Amino acid sequence: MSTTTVAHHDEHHDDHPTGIMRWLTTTNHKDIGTMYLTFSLVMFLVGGSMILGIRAELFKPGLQLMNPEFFNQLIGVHALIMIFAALMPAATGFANWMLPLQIGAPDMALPRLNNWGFWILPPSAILLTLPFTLALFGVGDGALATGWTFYPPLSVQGGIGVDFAIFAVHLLGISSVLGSINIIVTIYNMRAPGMTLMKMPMFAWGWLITAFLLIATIPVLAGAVTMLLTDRHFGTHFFDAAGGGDPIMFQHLFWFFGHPEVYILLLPVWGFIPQILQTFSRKPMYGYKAQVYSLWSIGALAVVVWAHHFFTAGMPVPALLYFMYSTMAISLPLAVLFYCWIRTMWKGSMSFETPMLFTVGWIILFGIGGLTGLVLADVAADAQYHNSYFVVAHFHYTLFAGGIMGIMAGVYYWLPKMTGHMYNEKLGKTHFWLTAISFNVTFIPQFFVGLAGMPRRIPDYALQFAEFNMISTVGAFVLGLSQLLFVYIIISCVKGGKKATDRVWEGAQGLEWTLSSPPPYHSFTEQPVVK
Amino acid sequence: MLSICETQCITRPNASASTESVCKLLLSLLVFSGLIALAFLHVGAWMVLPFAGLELVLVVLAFVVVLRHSGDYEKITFVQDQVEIEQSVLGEIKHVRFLCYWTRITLREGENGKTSLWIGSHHQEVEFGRGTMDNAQREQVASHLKRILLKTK
Repeated sequence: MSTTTVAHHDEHHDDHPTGIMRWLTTTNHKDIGTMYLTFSLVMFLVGGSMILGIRAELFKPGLQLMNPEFFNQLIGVHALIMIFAALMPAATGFANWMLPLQIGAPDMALPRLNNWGFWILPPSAILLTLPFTLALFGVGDGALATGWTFYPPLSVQGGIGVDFAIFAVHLLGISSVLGSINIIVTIYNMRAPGMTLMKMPMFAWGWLITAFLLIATIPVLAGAVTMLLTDRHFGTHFFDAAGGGDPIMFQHLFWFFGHPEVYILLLPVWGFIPQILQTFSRKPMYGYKAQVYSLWSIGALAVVVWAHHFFTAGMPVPALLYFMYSTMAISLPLAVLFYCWIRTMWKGSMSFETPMLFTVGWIILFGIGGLTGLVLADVAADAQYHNSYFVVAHFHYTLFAGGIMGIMAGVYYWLPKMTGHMYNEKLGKTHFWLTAISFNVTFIPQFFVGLAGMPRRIPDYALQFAEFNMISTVGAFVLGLSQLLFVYIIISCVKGGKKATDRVWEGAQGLEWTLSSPPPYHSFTEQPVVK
Repeated sequence: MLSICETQCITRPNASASTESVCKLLLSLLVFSGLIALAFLHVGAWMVLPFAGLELVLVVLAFVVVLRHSGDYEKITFVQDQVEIEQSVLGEIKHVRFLCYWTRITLREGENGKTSLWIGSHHQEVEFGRGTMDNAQREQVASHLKRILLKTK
């Protein structure tokens, strides 16, 4: 009889250091989720501040506050920060926090990898914003001024800000891929007994498809920006027409990633929105299978519609027709989702706490985003709308209303579970109304100026657009300042407040609500079995 | 994953994926990502290919790391007057038996508040549930084992 020692995998389950080392070395899914969410909130404020600078410049015609180059830099970095450093980490934060709880797993499948995935993010955020600081000391000419799309030839000719952005995008991509791999392995291999795929919460489905999309498309973006880098510094001519390259190929590469990216940002939200609806409607989710199949359909269609982002670049007519119809086809599974969401509420015993307010508001505003997208999918109409403020308003209805307001719904829904305290409901509702109203005040005028022909990405504009831009700027500042209330609500909820019950919401369903609020550091002391 | 009954305790890592389903998944990812990379290679954007390849290698490695241990388990069985501990790691099975009368269950406090559960007698001990249980579960198993051992004395 000899002494035997067994080690299965790394011992993250029992390691609970304190202080700064807890956060640097943690492999606990809740800690990492918290870090993702915190990072996301900080970057959301940074990106938001940048756009307020832009809106301040656009308050009146003429150049008041900044030169056009700096204006362009703010626009590009704002977009990259909001997409890669605010929205994506927020969704990943929820995935880390909630997926193991929802599928009955002790933790994520690859906890160490999870830690690395997060700690790649802060350096990449620094890389993105550092050129602004360097320019103050006379190094370089600021951040990238190409918009978030890096289109050549502008990006080939740009300053060091483009290089910084390329490396930042690489790091952000690595982080996303590590997170995706972890999520796929966790969902596939760490489910509790009885938790079949078709019994999984919708959020898990949303994230599984998101992870597949990331795995499929991140290499394309990585390849594209690397080719851009070699064009800039190593004498290649992938995208340089003067050397036989093709700048339109970059657009294909970029949008092959860029369009699925829209769904990468939205699918996790589409996952938990029905869960919120069923909770506050106090009845089971309607059309679970239909929703799962719709998510898969959208995921599949997402990778075959990319060229609708550059209809005006000069494609053959058959290609234009194909991309138009395939883009419009996405509205079919999305219509199924909308129907299921509304049917979930139908004849339910509804109450309108803050998460439900945000969710109902989200359905309406995201619906507007979807419908205006359908307009843009029309090749003939797009010739007029392309590169106008109509596009800007459309994608803010999808990515702010559809993405960020969805995330806010999730924050209010799960914050009591995460912190063990109820947030201030009155302030939460105030935050919703301020956000919803000021958002519309900001972006409805942009539809109008877009239809009237105002191009995007210009620091100065014709006098005819002055009034609408003024209204839009006022709305943007109210919207921006409203988010300080959001930060206050979160901080005060983390610090204390009325004790949250384990179930938190009367109609809440799912494994995460069987745990205490906040859940113990190691979630399940008894293995949950799903019947 | 821990299951306890009157005569047996079994602990094993969560393993909901079969090797077959993982192979299907990896194959579909390989085909899908491969086709995308080859299509871009065809139009001259060959740099997509190494990134796609590297990523697929990472996915495969992740599943290999996790699935290698999916068959692992630890089992404690009470057979008449003996307690048998069976430990399977990477397919290698080890058996250890102790007489119930002499068996001692020890929970030791380690660094960072981590506990370890030891079963043994006469200066020979086996650690149980090191990587598959948390502190609370180890305490639960320890008190359960002590209760059963008390009955046998």
